[in-house]
Amino acid sequence: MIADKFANDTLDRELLNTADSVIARLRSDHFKVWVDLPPAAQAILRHNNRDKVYFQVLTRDLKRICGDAILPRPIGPLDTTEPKFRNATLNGQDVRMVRIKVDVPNVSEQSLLVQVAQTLNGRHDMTHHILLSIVLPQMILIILGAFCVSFGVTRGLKPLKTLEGDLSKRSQLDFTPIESDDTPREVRPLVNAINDLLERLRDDIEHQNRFVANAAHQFRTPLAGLKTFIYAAKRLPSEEKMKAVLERIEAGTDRMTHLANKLLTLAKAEPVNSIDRHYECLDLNFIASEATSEFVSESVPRNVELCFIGSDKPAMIYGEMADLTELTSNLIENAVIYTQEGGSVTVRVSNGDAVRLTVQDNGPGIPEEERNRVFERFYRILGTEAPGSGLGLPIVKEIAAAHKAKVSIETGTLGIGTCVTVTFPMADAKELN
Amino acid sequence: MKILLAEDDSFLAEGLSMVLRDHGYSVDVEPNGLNADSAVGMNQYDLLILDLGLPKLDGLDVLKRIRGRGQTIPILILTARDRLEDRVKGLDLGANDYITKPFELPELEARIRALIRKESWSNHTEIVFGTLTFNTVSRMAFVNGAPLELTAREVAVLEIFLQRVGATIPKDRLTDLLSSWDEEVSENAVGIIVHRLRKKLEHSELTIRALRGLGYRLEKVD
Repeated sequence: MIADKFANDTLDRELLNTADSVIARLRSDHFKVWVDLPPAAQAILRHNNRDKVYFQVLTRDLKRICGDAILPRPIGPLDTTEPKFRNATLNGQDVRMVRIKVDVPNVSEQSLLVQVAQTLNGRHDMTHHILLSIVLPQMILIILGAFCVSFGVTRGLKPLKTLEGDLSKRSQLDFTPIESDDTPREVRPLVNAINDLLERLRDDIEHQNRFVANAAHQFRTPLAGLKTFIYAAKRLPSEEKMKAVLERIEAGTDRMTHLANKLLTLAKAEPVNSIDRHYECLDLNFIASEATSEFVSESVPRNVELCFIGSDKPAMIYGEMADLTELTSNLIENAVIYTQEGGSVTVRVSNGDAVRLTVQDNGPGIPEEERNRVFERFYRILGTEAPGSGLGLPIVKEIAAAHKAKVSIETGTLGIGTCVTVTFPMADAKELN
Repeated sequence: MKILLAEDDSFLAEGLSMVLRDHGYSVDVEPNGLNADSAVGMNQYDLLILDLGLPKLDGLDVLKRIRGRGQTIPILILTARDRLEDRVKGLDLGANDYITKPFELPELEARIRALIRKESWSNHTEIVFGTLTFNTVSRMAFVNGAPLELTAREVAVLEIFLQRVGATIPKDRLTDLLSSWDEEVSENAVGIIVHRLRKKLEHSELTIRALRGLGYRLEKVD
């Protein structure tokens, strides 16, 4: 539309020029008016590569003095002094016309009307030309600009995307600060703010852990006091009932001791504390066999058969000795205490596609819907006798996470009992050295 | 045997001292570190049971001061701190043993016996003097194989005599030893206990001689 308007304005002026050229050729004497336009001059007037040019001169009464006859009659008010442009049809073709009223000198009360018409090909060409040479490059420029901006912004935001990727890959337990060396200046305040938040979170969790550890610690002295009094009481002469009661009191005290110890272990096992740990290359066979033998004395009075099967080749993993021992002990402890008299527990280390620790029993098993929940602190399966602390598996979970190992619970062989598997990542060459 | 128990928790201190006294030990309780240190410096104890978290002066500082003075009293650390670093530190600073709370009483008692055996009996499980045999573990005395019925106080006195056979034990040392069962023991009472012990040793060819101004001495009868 805009292109049309430019084309029109320009070509209307040309039309007007042509009309003015005709007007310049008007001659008059006292009697009549005529147009001095010899064929050569006419030829020049009509000369146009693209379009046909028509002209005529009319009297005020619309009598043709000279020019083409086929032009449409003037319409509208005829006495306007301004040139009047309009679109019309001539010979079946669309044309643009201009009409000018001319006052003739020397001849009073006579004004003439000059009409010039031209077909529209030139206009259309100009419109196209404008579109192509101006509008099209503009569009290309705009599109190119859009691409550049898009590219620039994407490039600029790439560090943010990388940041997003890194953060979402982190485990929920990782509180180390984000690297901020290669972030652009504008984004740096954001990264700093995130790092601040991470640090505060880490401090909070450490604070909480220390509190739990301290609380567990504080239980030890009163428990020691209780045990000494119970011991003294048991040695006093008393009847059977009293002895039995004292035994129960002592068992309760021992449970509390166990719980306090587990709480302390759990608080210290959280991966947020993993910076203080000493990691090394260890053979899981060694740790697991030692842990198993520690439980033999507990399994014998319960008549639970306990055995250990190691892998043929060493099962090297990268880990912390005390933590791995705690993990293994907790799994064995659970298996032994929850398995019935006459049952069996098998501890196995395998080194196939990955290093695995499996503890399997033929006890009551863990129902599928509970298998995720048993890792919650203090969660108890309804109906179990629950001699444990409720923290064994949560501790296993924390230690496994710190070692980037996976823990899974399945049904034991032959569809009975429980099989807990801990799968460790292989120690890589760097760690082995 | 006289034990100093440096423990600030009165509940535990009460229970533990009760159990130890039942076993025939004489026990003093000191709840603060500064006082415990002076007590060890000024009195003759056969064993110090030391808690680490003491007020006024931390257990490890008490330990350092005692060893710094050159005192060789056996020290058993009793604490809730159970990390490896704590154990190593405690033992390296001069303690002889380290046990964590809560503990099993039989184990604590055995460790106490072991420490005393080493210090007072040079690791002998049995002391022989003439016809008298004294088992340092069971703390029972036999004359020609026959057991002697002795009260806790009498055993305590006999132990002192047998620790350094032939030595003369000053009276106030005996008074000091015997007065802790939460009651002061008068000098007369000491004399009575010695007299009763002497009587029980009648057929052993051993006697306890009173040396005026010097003290008592266990010796063979010629």
